[in-house]
Formats: sequence, C-alpha cells, structure tokens
Amino acid sequence: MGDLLQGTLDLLILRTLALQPMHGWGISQRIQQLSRDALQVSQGSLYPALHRLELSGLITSEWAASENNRRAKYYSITIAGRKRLKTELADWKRTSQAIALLLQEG
Amino acid sequence: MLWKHLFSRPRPAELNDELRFHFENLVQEKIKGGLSEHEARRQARVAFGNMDRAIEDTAGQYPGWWLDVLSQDLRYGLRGLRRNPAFATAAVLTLALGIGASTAVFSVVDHILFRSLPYAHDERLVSVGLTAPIMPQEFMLGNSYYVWKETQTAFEKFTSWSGVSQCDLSEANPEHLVCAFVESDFIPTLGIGLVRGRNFLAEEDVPNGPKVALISYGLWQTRFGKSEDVLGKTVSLNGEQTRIIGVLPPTFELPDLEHSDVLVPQRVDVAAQRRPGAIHIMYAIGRLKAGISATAAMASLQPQFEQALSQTPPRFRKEVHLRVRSLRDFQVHDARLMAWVLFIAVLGVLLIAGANVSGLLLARASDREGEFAIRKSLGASRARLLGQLLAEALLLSLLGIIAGCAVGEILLRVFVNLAPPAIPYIDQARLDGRVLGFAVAIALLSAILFGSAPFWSSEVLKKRSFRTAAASPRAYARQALLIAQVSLTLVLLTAAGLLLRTARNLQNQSLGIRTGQLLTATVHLGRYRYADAIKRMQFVNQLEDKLKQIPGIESVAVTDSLPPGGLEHDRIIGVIAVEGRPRPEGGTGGNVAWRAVTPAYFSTFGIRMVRGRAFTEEDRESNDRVLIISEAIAARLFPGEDPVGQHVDLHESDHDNPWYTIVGVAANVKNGGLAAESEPEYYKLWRNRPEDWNSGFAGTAGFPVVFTVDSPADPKALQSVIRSDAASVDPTLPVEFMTLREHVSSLADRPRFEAALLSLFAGLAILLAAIGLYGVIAFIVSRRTSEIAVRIALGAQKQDIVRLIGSDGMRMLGVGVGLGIAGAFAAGHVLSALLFDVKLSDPLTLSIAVIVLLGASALAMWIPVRRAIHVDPMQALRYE
Repeated sequence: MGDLLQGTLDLLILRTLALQPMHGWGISQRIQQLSRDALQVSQGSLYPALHRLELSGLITSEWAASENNRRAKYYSITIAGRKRLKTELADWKRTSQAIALLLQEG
Repeated sequence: MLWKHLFSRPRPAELNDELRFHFENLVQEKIKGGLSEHEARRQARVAFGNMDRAIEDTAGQYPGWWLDVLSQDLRYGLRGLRRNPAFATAAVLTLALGIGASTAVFSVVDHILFRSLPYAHDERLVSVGLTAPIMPQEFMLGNSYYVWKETQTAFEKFTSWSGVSQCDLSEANPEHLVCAFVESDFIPTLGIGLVRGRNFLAEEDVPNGPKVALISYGLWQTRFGKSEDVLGKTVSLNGEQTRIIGVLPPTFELPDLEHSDVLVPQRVDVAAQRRPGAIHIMYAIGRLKAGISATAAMASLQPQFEQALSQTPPRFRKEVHLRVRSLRDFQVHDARLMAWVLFIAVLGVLLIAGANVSGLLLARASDREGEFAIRKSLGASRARLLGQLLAEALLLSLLGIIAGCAVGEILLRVFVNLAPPAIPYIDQARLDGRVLGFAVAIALLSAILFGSAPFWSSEVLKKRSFRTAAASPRAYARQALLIAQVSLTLVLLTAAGLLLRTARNLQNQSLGIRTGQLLTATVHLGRYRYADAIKRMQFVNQLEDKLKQIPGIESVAVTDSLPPGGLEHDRIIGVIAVEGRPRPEGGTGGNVAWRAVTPAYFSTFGIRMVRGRAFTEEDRESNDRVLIISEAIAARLFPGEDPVGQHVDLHESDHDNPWYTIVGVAANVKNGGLAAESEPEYYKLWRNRPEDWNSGFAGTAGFPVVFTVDSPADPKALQSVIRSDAASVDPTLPVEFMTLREHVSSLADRPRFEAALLSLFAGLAILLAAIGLYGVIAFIVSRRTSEIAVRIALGAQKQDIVRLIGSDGMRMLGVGVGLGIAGAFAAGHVLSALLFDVKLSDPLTLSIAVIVLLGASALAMWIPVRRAIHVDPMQALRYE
C-alpha cells in the first residue's frame, strides 16, 4: 500500500464503518474496492489503528458470527466517532481543496 | 475509570483470533481465484507478512501493554539467569557486596559527615575559644568571654555553657542525673525549639536568681509520664527547690554530645568574672552573621584575642592559640578523617563492583550476540531489545538490592559490635530509609548504566559477523575500567596494610611495664558518700589489707590511674621549682603527668628503678613527703646531676611545707595513651595522712581507685574473691574488673576497628577485582576462540596460547599496579595522621599488597586461560 498518513487511515476506517458495522477483513476489502484497488491497507497498520480508535472510544466492537459462520470481531462507529468523522471530513475537504488550488496555481 | 484505562491490556487470544480470521479470509479469496489450497496459503502468508509483529504492534496500542512486556521480559530474564547460574551468582554477589558494604558504611559515616545537627541553620554555628597544650579542646575563661561577647562583630549571637555535672533529683525516689549548665541565651542561639514551656530569662541566669530548669524529653517521658502539668512543677535538685519551666525536644543534644537530663542556668557572677584572677571555664558558641565565614570570624576576633593573651601568665602566651571551627568539626574532630577515608574506600569498592557487573553483562552479551541477531531479524525493534536488556539488568539489580540489604544489615551489626565507644553516633547508626534509598539509587543507576551497555556495543545491533578480536573503543573502555579496578584495589590493600601494621605496632610497642597476670579492680568513690578524705583513706587501706591476705596474690598496688591509660593527672613543668634555684621563667615547659601510688606499685608493674629506691612501707608513716620521678623529667630538671636527695616544690597551694624529697628515678613508662607521645612523669605516695587523699577526687568525674593484684591464679576465680572482700568493706560500691592486658588491648580498639573496616574493604576489593579480571579474560577467550583454534590447528603450543591470552591481562595488570603504587603513596599521605610507627611508603606493606594482588589475579586469569589451551580446533571451527 502507499504510505497512508495515520490520520487518513483513521478517517477511512470511520467512513467505512459509518455505513455499517464490519470486521477488519471487510474494512480492508471495502477500502480496496471503493478506491478501485488504489489503496491497500495492510493488516500491520489496520489492526493497530482499529484498536487505537476503540481505546479512544470512537468505535466499539463485539464478537459475532460472520457471513460464512465464523467468529469475527465486528466494529461499529459510536456517536463520538460520528462527530469526529464529521469534523475530520470537513477538515479533509478544506485541506484537499487548498492543495488542489495550490497545485492548479503551480 | 481513568485508572482502568491506563492499565487496560490486550487479550492475546482475541488478538490472535482476530488476525487469524483475516488471514483465513485472505486464503479463501485466493482459493476462489483458482489456486490450490497449499499455494493459496503460501501466497497469503507472503501477503500477510509477519503476523506476530502485527499482533505485537496492535497490542502496543494499549496503555497497559508494557506491563505484559515487562512481565514477559522478566520471565525470560529469569529463565536466562537460571540457565546461566555462574553468571547470575557472580553478578548478584558483586552487586550485593557492593551495595551491602556501601550501605553499611554510609550508615556509619552519614551521621559523622552529612547528618545535619539538630540545631536551626547548624552550618552557621561555630565553636570559639582558646587552646593550650593542657586543654586541647577550645575553651574560654570568664574574664575574657564577657568582653568578647560585648565587643565581637562577626556573630549574630554569642553564647556559652559550662559543661555538665552530676546532680541528684530527690523527690519521692532519688535519682542520679546529669545536669548541664548553660547561659540564658543558649537555647535561642542554637535555634532549639522547646516541646513545652519557655526558655530561661536573663534574670534567672544570675547568682541568686530563681531556681528553674529545662528537662530532657526522655526525663519527661520516664519520670513524669509526659504529663502536661509538669510545667511549673517544683522538684528538689541537689537539695534546692527548682521549678521546671520547659521540656527539650527529643532530638536535643549538647554540643559535645555528652548526655544530659536537665538544663539549668549557669548563673555566672559576671561582675566577679571581670575582676582579675577569676577563672570560670566555659565553652563559647557563636552564630555567624550571614555571609561571614569561620575564618573571617577568627580574623575579626584577633584584637580580643591579643587582649586576652596579655592577661594570661607570660609562660602560657606562646602556647595559647585562638580557634574558631564549625560545631560539626568540634564534635567529630578526629573521627572525620577516618570517616572520609572509609567513605572514599566505599566509593572505590562501589566503582569496582559497578565495573564488574558491567564487564559481566558485556561478556554475557558477547555470548548472546547470535540470539540478539536472530531476534532482530525476526523483527524485534530496537526499543524492544533495549527494553529486554534493561529488564534483565533491573532483575539483577533487584536481586542485588535484596541480597545487598541483607549483607548491609549484617555488616552494620558487625560494625556496631566491633566499634569502640569513641566513634561518634555509632549507636544511632542503622539502615534507615535514606540510606536504603542511597543503595537503591546506586543499584538502579548501575542497572541503567551497565545494563544497557551491551546495547550500545555496536556489534549487537549489526548483523551477525564473524567473531574477531577487533579492538573497538568499547574494548578500550573495558580495559581502562579493569586497570582502574586493579589500581584502586592496590591502594585499598596498601591502606589496609598500613592500618593493620599501625594497630599491631600500637599493641606490641614497649610500654615500660609488664602486663602478664595482672588483674585490676576499679572502684569509684562517690562524691557524696566519700566526701571526707579520711573515709577514702580508710576504705583503700582496709581493702588493700584484705587483698594482701588472699592466698596466691603476690602483691597489691593501688593507684588513681593506670598506665598507659591517658587518664593521668596533667600539669605543666614550668611551675616546678628546684630548691636552691630561682623559679623558672619563660614557657610552660610542656606537660608532665603524675599519679598517686602505693609503695608496691613499682614492683607490681615491673618498673625498674634507675637510681635511688622505690617507696617503702615506712614512707607511708613518715612526715616527710617523698617523690619518685621518671628518667625523662630527671633529664629535664637535673641534666648531668643526681636527682636523688634533691628537693622540689610542685607548686601545690594546699600545703604549708611545699618541699618534696626525690628518693628515686624510675624508668620511663608509656603514658597518655598508646598513640600519643609519652610525657615525663612523677609519682606521689599515698601516705596514711588525710592530706594526701584530697587531690584528684574532686572534679566532675573524679579519679577512681584502682587495685592491681599480681597473681598466677585464674582471673575469673580471683574476681569473686576480690568482689566479696570489697563488699565486706562497703557493700554498695560496684567493682569493675579487667586484666591489664585487656586494658592495654582496649586502648587499641579504635585503630583495630579502623584497620578491620579497611581490611574488609580491601578483601572485598580484591575479590571483586579478581571476578572482574576473570570476566574480562573469559570474554577475550570467548571472542578469540576461533582464532585460537586456527592457531592450535596450525601447531601453536600451549605456552604460545598462554602468552597470547595472558599478555593482554598482564599488560592491564602491569599498568594497574603502576598506577596503584602511585595512588598508594598519595593515600599514605592522607592516612599519615592515623598511622603509628609506620612509614608512609612502607616497602614491606606495599610489596605484600602487590604480591597478594598478583596472586589473586593469576588465579582469576588461570581459569579462562586453561579453557583457551584446551580449545578443540575441530569443534570450535565447526561451531563458527
């Protein structure tokens, strides 16, 4: 994967979970699909990020049966997580617009 | 909540499940893509990467994660130590000895050197006074003290006290107490806070002022049950109704550390002190003004000193000096040097111990290079490796601390039991919290410093390389440490040797008396019970007669002091006049010791008469006053003349006829203690006349009466006979027994104690140095095993290998010994004040120290060198 900034990965995880609760594998697949394979998240950075977000209370988790009936850990976004997502998204838009402007000017 | 969060920890099983789920999905996806299961798993593993690393990184997100890591590291470290018991034992033992010895000695010297005195701003308190040969501790006389107090400019406050004396508290049940006499501003000058009540008023410190007293905390507790209404209570002190006005704090101590129960105003008649001839002896204490040093204060007192000097008799002037020194120096005067010597010795031992543990850890690290390289390539981070090294070192130091505390406690007990009473504060020395903190700080510091040392050793972090004997900077540091160890050890060994020889010389010197089969029995005739000279004379005569009749006792001598004691009467020679010559003018002429004896004294102690005769029984009944002088004083007063038959005036004011007739000259006898230069001496006879039984019994402590019996009988059996005889004369008097040999030996207690302590350190140092040397040579051997194997395979002989390995050790040893000899000379200078009859650069001591050191080193080096000789080339090279 391209080196995702830590904040960016958090943002992607929150965005993915805002649609529906999901396990780690699902999150990585979804990010890959939505980005049309441009972004690949390695488990080496995904799971530390998931546990970090959980510890800071932005997401929660519970064990449940998966689609193929195996035990999997499902993460879902919390209210605090949604709030954070909103501000982060706004920030992200501002920043990307700014960068886009800069690049056009250049 | 927050607390729980701080220590929240990952559950490893769940983490494992979670990541495994991810992995299985990856596999399934690849199978769907048309791969065989086997190939799918292989590719999934490649894609997934290091699962353990991922699990660890995830676990690392939890704040409490380090707890798991620590316990894991500790468990791993403990396993490692158990696998390598020789290393573990050596390291823990080194730490335990280093920590134990330093803690114990720190406990002893802490009180002498560093403890603050129980006075406010004690660093500004100084002892002020004059010194003279006859009173080596500074004192002041009333006539000058009050002038100084008014005119001095260097002190914020200036106060005095007048020593202690026995006093009787007679209330319901009488009790002997010690009273100290102080000026009214003594308490505020020293900055002592009273627990109850108030300080003395100025009007209570005058000759006929109201009788008041401050009592010690201990007395308040034991005698008055800490009752509040003790204030204002009236007690009878030495027969005078005295009101208690306050209670001293539990920490209170007199400036000279003398015990006291009661403080009373000294009530000096100031007006009388201003008249000539008044000589109240007192001790002055000043509180320096801010920013003024003791030296500056001393300079500012110079005019007052000149003035005081002009009032002293001319013969004293040259020998009287002004002294201003800190109160701490006043208290611990001669213990200070020894305390510093011990403190430095302990730092040296600590340094050696630290270097040793470091050397051991380094050697171990070289053994484990392979392990570390593998761990690193398996993905262990630098922080994780460092963490593990530190955890191991921490484990070692924890074990070291525990063992060290035990060693320290044992050593301290040994010290306290060995210590003669003259060591200040020794009874207060115990392993307290601060001292323990000191030990723990040392251990942790050495853990961090030396535990992480292998980490900084570059080889560990690089990939595993072929073992070479490359001389890295770290190797030089290690060698420098070893050289320092060797030289320090030599210095300690030499110092211990010098002190041991001092103790031996002190005890084995020629004393001028015989000590075999002499038993002494000492009684103190109380000041009140035996206030009358006739009663004293009768007691002594009666007991002497009884002792003479005990079968087996060959002779009985009675004196008021024992040679080589140091507790003799002292006078100045200058006042002694010889008949037919003018009384000498000029200086004091130095001191002369004297003692009162019975005729059998000389024969009992085996003191030879050089001229004339000893005292006889007839002399005891005579009207004439007879005198025996020592050779030394005879040479001073009668150079080239025969003293026998001459008359001298000893300048005693209490006799009508001042003249004594010299009947004999006795050989010189050691007096004034074992170490001090002997003084000339004269002997007075106790005749059967009350006038001879006056001098010496007054005074604060009073001289004892010592009966010395010469008998081949068993001293223990003799004691009970003498005790029952004494009881038949006066059943209330306790008798103390000691053989003369024990008495002489007890005088060497302190030097022996000092020598024993330093020897202990030297022994410790040599043990540690040997361990260190062993460690370094073993390290070299293990680093060069392959090189040695190649050499042996190519035909090198045993002696070539010994030379190869040994030369490194010998070179370090050589440099260490050279530096050590230089250090030993320097140490000799520092120690010179503590030595007796030994040269600073005593060649015998130095060569024995070098031989012992070389012997121990050779032994320590032999073990690894032997291993080097027996290297099996095939095995060693295949191992690489």
